[in-house]
Amino acid sequence: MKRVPQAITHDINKQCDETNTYIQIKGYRLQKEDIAYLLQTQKEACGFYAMIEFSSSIIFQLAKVFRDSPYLSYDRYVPLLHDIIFVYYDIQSHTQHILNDEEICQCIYRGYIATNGVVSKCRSYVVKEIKKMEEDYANHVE
Amino acid sequence: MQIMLNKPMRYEFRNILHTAKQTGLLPKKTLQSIDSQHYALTNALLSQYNNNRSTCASQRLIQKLIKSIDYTIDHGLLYYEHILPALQHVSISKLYEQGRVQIEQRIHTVHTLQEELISHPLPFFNERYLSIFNQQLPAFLIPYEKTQKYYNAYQCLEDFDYPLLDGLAFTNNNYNLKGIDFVLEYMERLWLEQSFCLHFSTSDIAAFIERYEIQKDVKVDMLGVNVCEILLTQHLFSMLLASSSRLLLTQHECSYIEHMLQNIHIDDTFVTSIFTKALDNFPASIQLYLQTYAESFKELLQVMVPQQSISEWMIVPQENLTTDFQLTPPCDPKVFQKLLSDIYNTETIDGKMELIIQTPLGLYDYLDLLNDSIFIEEELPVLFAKLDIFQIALLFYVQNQELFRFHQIPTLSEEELLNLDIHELWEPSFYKYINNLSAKQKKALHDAFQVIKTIDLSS
Repeated sequence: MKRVPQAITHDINKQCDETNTYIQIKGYRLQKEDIAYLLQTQKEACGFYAMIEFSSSIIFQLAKVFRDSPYLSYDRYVPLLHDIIFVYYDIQSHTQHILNDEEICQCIYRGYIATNGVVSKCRSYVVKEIKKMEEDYANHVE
Repeated sequence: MQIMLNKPMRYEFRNILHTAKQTGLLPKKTLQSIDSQHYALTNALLSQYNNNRSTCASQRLIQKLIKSIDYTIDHGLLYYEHILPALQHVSISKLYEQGRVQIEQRIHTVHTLQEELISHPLPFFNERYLSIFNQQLPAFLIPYEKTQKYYNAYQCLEDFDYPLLDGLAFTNNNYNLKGIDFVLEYMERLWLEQSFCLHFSTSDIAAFIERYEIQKDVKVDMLGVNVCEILLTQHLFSMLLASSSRLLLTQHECSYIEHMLQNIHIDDTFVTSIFTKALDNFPASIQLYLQTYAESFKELLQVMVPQQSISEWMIVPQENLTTDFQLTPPCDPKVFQKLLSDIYNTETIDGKMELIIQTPLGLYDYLDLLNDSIFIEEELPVLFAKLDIFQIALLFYVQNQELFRFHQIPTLSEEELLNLDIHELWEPSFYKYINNLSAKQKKALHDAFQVIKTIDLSS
């Protein structure tokens, strides 16, 4: 079973171009090397948290969401995405698959802002928040 | 003899793929194509599973999906005689769809069998038998009523612990089947057994089970017993009679059968002839299924006939142990108080005994007297000697009810009496007194226990 696409495919290139158009307003840009590095990161994170990923689109979603961070410089952008990908799979391994990927990305961003840009501290905030959202969702369905 | 009612199921897709990779049975291109199709199928199933919410999932969930896909493909491969050519020429998605159709049919058949079985119940009130219909089968079928049915088809978490003619399904390794295949096989076997049983009238079966309970001195509620087996055994015995077969044999008929078996050489031919005669009127499927019992029946005869204990396996009418014994009701509290004060005021043991004999005391009055430690240790044997054997049995029963579970009855051996739990001060003297009883009195006590078991003391 392939965990993540190994090579940068045409589809990934297309998504990369689209993301670059979106984030360049804030002065960021993802190079091909950055994408290869983040794909490798995604593979490691999946292995670490015993997850299996079928798509690499989450990297671009996170890149778009974290574009607006007030605590970032150009140099810190890719390392931040590296850390956030780990947080993302950590959170995913604990959810009940009630929320969709985008909602989880947004929640991680809110946690990141609430803890003043300290990635290592935002996890507990996000876990609580997601639990609450899942409960609300379950109650709403009932 | 192991029979399978359905076409034997092959769970070989994963193994064959593995072997093909190792030995090159399939071209590399085909293997790559199978891999990518399987990957796409897993991805599609995951999207369906989480309603397109996420593209990632835990390894555990993916393994579950992969197992489910493999299981479904195995069912799709049932349409093809040879697996390797099928894998080469048929796409994985088509095999998967065909497998789904197969599983759907099996679920439908299980539902039909369930309805059939429930609509023709046997008068057999056994916990395990009833829990198949009330608990285990509904619990198994719940996931199949939801949209996620195909993810669960490969597993069966239920026990199905009612033993069939060849024993528990678990001891038969679940007939080497998984999930819905196993449940279908089990239900079909149960249906054949029930069809056989329903050949007899329900009133006959009810009367027969009642006789069985009396003879074995145990209720069938909690037993791990197969109703078809006991009915079939009796039916086979009755085949030795000239008259037409029936369940409810008379005492005379049983002795005749026993006598007849003593004079017959038991071999395969004999057993086969009985089976042929017994199953003559049944449909071929039931005949084939019940033939599995022939070997066990032969062994049963070969062991039991020389020991002259075949009567244990035949259910014969027996008189239920009844008694005209009436429990004396507890005496009036005022009378009891007066008796107590009189006993306190009397000094001699004979005077005390006189008072007790004159007052009609119930079982629990005696217990109150004993528990209140009114008598000293030397006086107790005198008091016990005044009680009749039935009263002693009752006292023993009330103090040691845990020894009377199911069909157990205390043997009253010295070792057993010494190891009994002591709750009250008078009990050691009581057990010592019982131990000193003569063998004849002990036998009478033992008989009294059997009668007491049938009395509801709470009333």
